[in-house]
Parts: sequence; structure tokens; C-alpha cells
Amino acid sequence: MKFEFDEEMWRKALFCARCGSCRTVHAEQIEGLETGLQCPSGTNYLFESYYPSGRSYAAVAFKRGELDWSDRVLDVIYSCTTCGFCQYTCERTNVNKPTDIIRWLRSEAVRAGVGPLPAQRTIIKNLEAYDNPWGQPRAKRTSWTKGLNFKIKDLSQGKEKAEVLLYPGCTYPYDPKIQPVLRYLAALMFDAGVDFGILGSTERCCGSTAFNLGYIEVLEKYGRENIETFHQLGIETIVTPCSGCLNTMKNLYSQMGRCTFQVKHSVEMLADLIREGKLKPRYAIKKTVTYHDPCHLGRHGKIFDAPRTILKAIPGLRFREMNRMREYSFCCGGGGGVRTGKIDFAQATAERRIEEALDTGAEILTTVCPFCSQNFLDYLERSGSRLKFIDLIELLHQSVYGEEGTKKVEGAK
Amino acid sequence: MGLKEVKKKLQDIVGKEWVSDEPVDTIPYSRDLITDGLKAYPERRPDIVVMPGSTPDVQNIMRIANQYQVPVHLIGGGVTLLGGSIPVTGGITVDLKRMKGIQLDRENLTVTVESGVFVTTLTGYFKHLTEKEKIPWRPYFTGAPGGSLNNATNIFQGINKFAGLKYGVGIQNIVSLEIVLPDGSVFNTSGGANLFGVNHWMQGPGPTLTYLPFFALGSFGICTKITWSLYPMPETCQSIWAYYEDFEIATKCLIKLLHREIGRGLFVMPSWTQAAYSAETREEGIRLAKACPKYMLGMGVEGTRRAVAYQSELANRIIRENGGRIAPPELIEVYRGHEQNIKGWGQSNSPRLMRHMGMIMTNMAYLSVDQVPEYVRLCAEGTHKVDAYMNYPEPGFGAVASGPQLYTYQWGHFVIAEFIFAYDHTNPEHCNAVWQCMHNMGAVPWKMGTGPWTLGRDPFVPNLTGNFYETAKKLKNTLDPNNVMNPGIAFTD
Repeated sequence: MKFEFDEEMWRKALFCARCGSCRTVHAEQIEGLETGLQCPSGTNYLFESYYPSGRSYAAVAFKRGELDWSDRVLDVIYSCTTCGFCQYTCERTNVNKPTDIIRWLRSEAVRAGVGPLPAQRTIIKNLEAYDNPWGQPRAKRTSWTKGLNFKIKDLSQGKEKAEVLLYPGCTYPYDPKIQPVLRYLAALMFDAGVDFGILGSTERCCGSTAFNLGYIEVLEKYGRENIETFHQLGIETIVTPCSGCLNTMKNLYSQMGRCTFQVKHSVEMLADLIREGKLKPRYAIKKTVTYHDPCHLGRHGKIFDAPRTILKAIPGLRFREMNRMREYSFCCGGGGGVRTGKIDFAQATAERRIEEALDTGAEILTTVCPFCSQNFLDYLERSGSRLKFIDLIELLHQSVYGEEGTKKVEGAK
Repeated sequence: MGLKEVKKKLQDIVGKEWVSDEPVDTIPYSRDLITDGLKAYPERRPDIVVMPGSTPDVQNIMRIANQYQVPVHLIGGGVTLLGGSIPVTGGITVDLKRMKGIQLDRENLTVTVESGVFVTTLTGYFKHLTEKEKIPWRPYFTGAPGGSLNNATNIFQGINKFAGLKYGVGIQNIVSLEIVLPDGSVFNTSGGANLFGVNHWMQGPGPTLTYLPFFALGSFGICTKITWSLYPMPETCQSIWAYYEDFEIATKCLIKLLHREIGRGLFVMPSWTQAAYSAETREEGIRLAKACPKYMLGMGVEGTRRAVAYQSELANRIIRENGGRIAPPELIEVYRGHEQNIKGWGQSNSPRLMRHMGMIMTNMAYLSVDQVPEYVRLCAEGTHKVDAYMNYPEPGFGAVASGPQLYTYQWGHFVIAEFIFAYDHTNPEHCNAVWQCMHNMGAVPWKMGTGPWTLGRDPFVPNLTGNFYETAKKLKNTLDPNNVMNPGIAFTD
């Protein structure tokens, strides 16, 4: 897989008119104090180089041989969360692909042996050693299944078969703060009668983190291996709670070769189950809740309605949208390797988003992405904010089984 | 040696993290639409970028610049398209994005904003106030959505000419400015009358200095704060749009409406411009442009519900009696940005400005109403010359399109006229054609009275303006003897 930008795209990058579409939600679409502050890195660092147009100019200068690698160049290109807002607005009308240009710059940095940032290099070492970015043993990948009152099929050997492969990804299983979400999801799927299984400890990373840091070959390796595995096992449907995995398998794997399986985010499946009457949220949650659209689920994955369908199905729940939502949502700050490489920037961005959430009057902030969850949880813990974070799948579980039921599953281990 | 020392001194003023001479940081300031396409300015990087956080920072930067005689250029929101921020002589680029203060004066109904406040931010600020505190007041301003409100990209270029429909052009709604002069001194243009520290008297005891920096393209100083009047939001508003095949008939209708004092913000322009502004995608724009007749008249009506109903009916009748075809409501929907502007919400001169193509407005003239027919005649000549250079099967998309347009922003009786070009700014042939046409059209502003905005844009214009340009230069030399303030932009010689 390569970033094969055609001449037209480079011409547009070269002639970026700096119109500002990549950094501003127009008042016609959404009005608000924050709508001129749409690029997370530009908003944080303010220099033009940290905005998409600045990076486009830098890429062109680099291509022309007018720019050499330096620490500052690396800081500029690795300060992008790859939230994709710039690409969403620019690509439709100007052909330019600012987010892909950043990925191209990162892949060049890796090829030159200068990228990524020092803190981010552990990710690639961990992938080489453990097949996950967090350096955790393969055997612990399934620790979340312990204590569940039902058995999940193991599809890894091809002996057991199921209609759906649940692909938890690398982040939910290894972070104890968000790991219970997998148990809630599995319980909901089981009780709704979904025939599903997992790959257990043989599951490997999808390659998303490597891709976002510029390691294209690593993505290709995982992509090839995973596609082959899915085909060998006859997998037809993959469901993942991770927005990063969804984007990678849905949008990138399809560029690597023929994929006979479909990939869904867990919220799509859960929304369908509610619509079909197989899941019945009956316990009221009398709280005001706001929802954060993860960039990889929303702008990249184009899934906006399913999480809202779930929230609206929960009795008693007062759902309040944030001002910037759906395609115009603001990033949590955790993506694109930023949380690993530049935690202060990641947290500053989380703070901006949480202020927006608080402005809705919400008591609970919810989302469906492990990176967003981690970044928000860290900030809320540090800041002592009155806002509470609960994953959307947990909220649904609470509404289906009541708070007590959820507590039982959370502490199942 | 000099620049290293300057960098160190700038770091002492604003802190190390807000000063950079790294190529990756200076390259993005070196270009925009006008350097790339029209090549009206050469591509040039600043030597140093500095981001002041306050007015005293700006003062100290100017003192350093003057001491070392290093040129200073300005940038605000960073969405400049037309060259005002290109550091054509190198030196220091002062990026004002850190200055984001907004201060509301509830008693005097003004708002004071620092120079890094974006257009959308102030719009959002007032939306927030309306929702949370039920304050039905608005300033009237506009500009590119990501643009900042009061620095090189707006005040100094004069983009705020497109502003409140009811209350006149943007600069007429400003009550005072805080300006840092090239020597580092700071003054408030309402200071003369400002015994109690309130910025609400634009004239001062005289002479009136508030208008000094407008259209001067940052040549006289750096505007660090701007104070706007607030006005009540109308109870309701409505857009009226009509189509014409002929520019002359449309302008006659416009004058009739002006004479009856109906509506706000009347304009006549080529229909493809609004198609381009309004479309969500390039394809949609082409479809809309092809579906449109050649010219359109637009206007806003606002006030009480009863007044809006009465004026709309009257306007519709006048339009119909004068050769216009009223646009259907479903088409008006795509122009909702205009209505937002009337209400004071949208605060932008077009819903999706500049997203599909390079576009440049040029050869601006300020006309009295009785001059309009002559302008129309000259434009017809000019259009003929333009047609000799251009060929546009699909107006505005993939080819050059052009046309005259007229704006009015108050009751009666003057009109801003200009010629608009849309072209593929990545195509050298288009750029050359536009450049040639701008030269050929030079006769229009010369005959009709030159708008100051063109002063810094069209190199041939200073030769046409008599002693106006020479007088402005004298003032410049007095305020900025070392010519450090945005040299080479407004005063090109």
C-alpha cells in the first residue's frame, strides 16, 4: 500500500490557497465559540506550520528538496491527531488530502530513519515483540473473558464456527480501566442471541497504530496476515468495539486486496439488535448525557446515527448534543500517536472537548472508542471535573440489566 | 549577526516557544493564493515568526524592529488569500493568533476584541450570550470565517467593507481602535474623548483617527484591539432573490429599489458567483451555475414581522415590474447564509467563500447612484475585452469566469462596484488571462473613482490617483520613517 497521490493532488497541495476550510466550521453549519478552532494541533500550537495548510506547504517544500529533517519538522508532523476534519472539508471541494499528506510525511520520516518521536518508537518495538502496541503478553489478551457466566467460542483453530467474529483490538483488553466494556459487550451479544466467537490469544493487532506513525510496511504485514486468517476461518462478519480497528479494517484492508468479510462497529450491531427487539433497554437512566463522535468512527468510518439510536432508546436518559458534532466533531486529542508521543498536547485537547461537553449541562460524557475513553478518563481524573465518563456500551448494559446487573459483570473476574 | 540578535531579543519579550526561525515554521507564511496563482507577489519566507500575547508585547516587538530596522509583516487568522500577509521583504512576521481577548461592555453596548479573535469565534460568542443570557445584541462585522477580525487580513485590507446590512459597512460600526505605531507607541483612537476609559466615541475631539488604518494594508501600525458597536437583532428577516438575463436591467431595478428605500444590502452580481458560494460540492456548483440565469439581484428585508411582510410584497412587485424573475423559495434555501448575515448570525460574506476556485475581486469603484449607468457601460466594454481573453463554457469551474457586480449596504445612495474573476488559480494560463484583464479593466476605477483597496493590489493604480497616493506616502513617512511596517504591500514603490 502506498500513498500514490496523483499530480492533481500535489498541484492542489502546492496551490493550497489557505482558505481556512480545514480549520474552521463555517457558521452556516455550526455556530459557536470553538468553531474557528477545529484543528487540534493548530489550536494548540498556533504557528501556521501546525495547521493542515502549513503541513501541505511543508510537504511540497520537502518534495522539492527545500526542507530537511529536524526535530521541529518531526514535532510538526507528529503533532497531528489525524482527526481527519481537514480532509473531510478540503477533499470534497479542493481535492487536497491534508491528512493523507501528513501520513505521507510520516512514512517518509520513518523511511529516512528519523521518525517517529522517541516515545512513539516503543509502539513499534512492542508490536514486533508482542503483536500489540502496549507490550502486553499475548496470553493476557483474553483475560477479560474470565468470570463471564457463558463461554465464548474460540474460532482461532477453525474447529468452532460462529457467524460473527468479535475483534476486541489491542487497547480494550489490556487497559483495566476500560476492559469491562468488553464484558458488557459480550454479555449483550450473548443475551441477544448473536452467534459469535473470538480469536483469543492468537488475535493480532490490526496495524492501525503503526500506520498512523508512518510504518506502512507494518500495517501491510498485519493486514495481509489478518485478511488471510479471516479468509481461512471463513469469517463473514467482524464486529469490533474499537473505532481505530474499524477504520483500519474497513477502509485500509480493502485497499490491500479482496476482503470477503464485512466489518462493523459494535454500536452498529447493538443499534440493529435494539431495532429488532432483541435487546430491550428497560431500566431508566435519569441522567443528562452527551456523546462524543470519535474521529475514526465518525469522519473516517461515517457512522454517526447508530450511537445516537442507542442513546435515544435508553429510557429516562436526556441526550444533549455538543455544539460540534457528527462530521464537525472536535477530536479528543488521543489519536494519531499523539497520546503516546505528546501527552500534554493530548490532554490539552481533551480539556477543550470536555469544556464543550460541560457546556451542554451533561452529567455524563460517553463515547465508543478506547483511545478517546483513555484520554478523557485521564483528564477527568487529573482535573477532578464533575463530568463523569461512561462508555456507551456500559450505559446500554445498565439500561438492559440495571445497575446491579452491570456491577456483577464489571466485577466478574 | 543582526537577525540572531533580533531573535534573541524577541525571545526575551514573548518567550522562546513563541519565536521561530525554523524553515518548517517560516515556509507556511511565504505564500497564498496571490503568490501561487497570479504571482502578484513573490513567494518569500519571513526570517523570523513571532507570536505576541499582548499589546505590550507588540509594542516591544515594534521597538526592536525599529531599532534594528527589520521589516515587520502581519498575519491574523491565517486564512489570507490575497497577499496582505506575504512578507515580501522578509524580516519579522508577527502572527497575532495568541491575542484572543473578548470584552463585552454591557452598559455602552460595545464589544472589544483583540486581534487574534476569529470571525467565527465572535459569532459564537454572541450566540452563546443569546442562549445563556438572553442578550439580543450583535455587532455587525464579517470576513472569511477563519479570519481574524482586526489585523492585516481584515481591517488593513478592508475586508470589513462587507458587513452589517442594516448598519452600514463594517468600518462604520467600529467605535475605536487600539493601534501600536511603528515606533512602539500605542494609542486609542477614541482616547481624545475617553476621559473615563470607555471606548465608544470614534471621532474623538478630532481629527478622527479611527479610519486611519483602514485599507492601509498594515502600513501605519498594528491594530491590537477593536471596539464594535452592538445593535439589536431584528424580530425577523427575509431574503429576496431575483434573476435577470441582462446586467443593465438588473441595475435599473436595483436603483428603483434604492430610491424607494426598500431592503438592506442590495446587490447585483453574476449568478454563478452565488452558485459557487452556495454549493456543497464542485459538481453541485456546476449544476447550480448552469441552471442560473446570467445575473441576480439579492436583498434582505428585516424588522418587525409586519414591516417585513409589507416591504417584501413591495419589493417583489417592483422586481416583477422591472424585468426580474423572483427565485423560488426552495432555491433561496441554498442562500441561507445571506439571511444569517441579515440577522447578524452568519457574519460572513458568503456561505462557502473561495472553496471551489481562485476568485479575485478587483477594480473597485465607489459610485454615486447616478454614476451606475456609466459604470454599466464601461463594464460592457470591459466585459468585451475580457471575453477576448477568456472562454468559459462552465462558468467558474475549470475555466475563467468574470462579471461586474454592485453592492449597497445602507439606505441609498452609493454603490460599491467591482469586477469579479473566478479562475483555476493552479492554471498559469488562467492566471495570465486574469492579470491581463485586470490591466485592461483599469480604466473603470480610474473613470469612476478608485477604491483605496485597489491601491496596494494593482500596481498601475497609484499612477491614476493624483496626489492621493503622494499624500498617503507623506503620512506613512512621518509615522514610519524607517519603513519597517509592512513595506512593499500598500506602498509598492
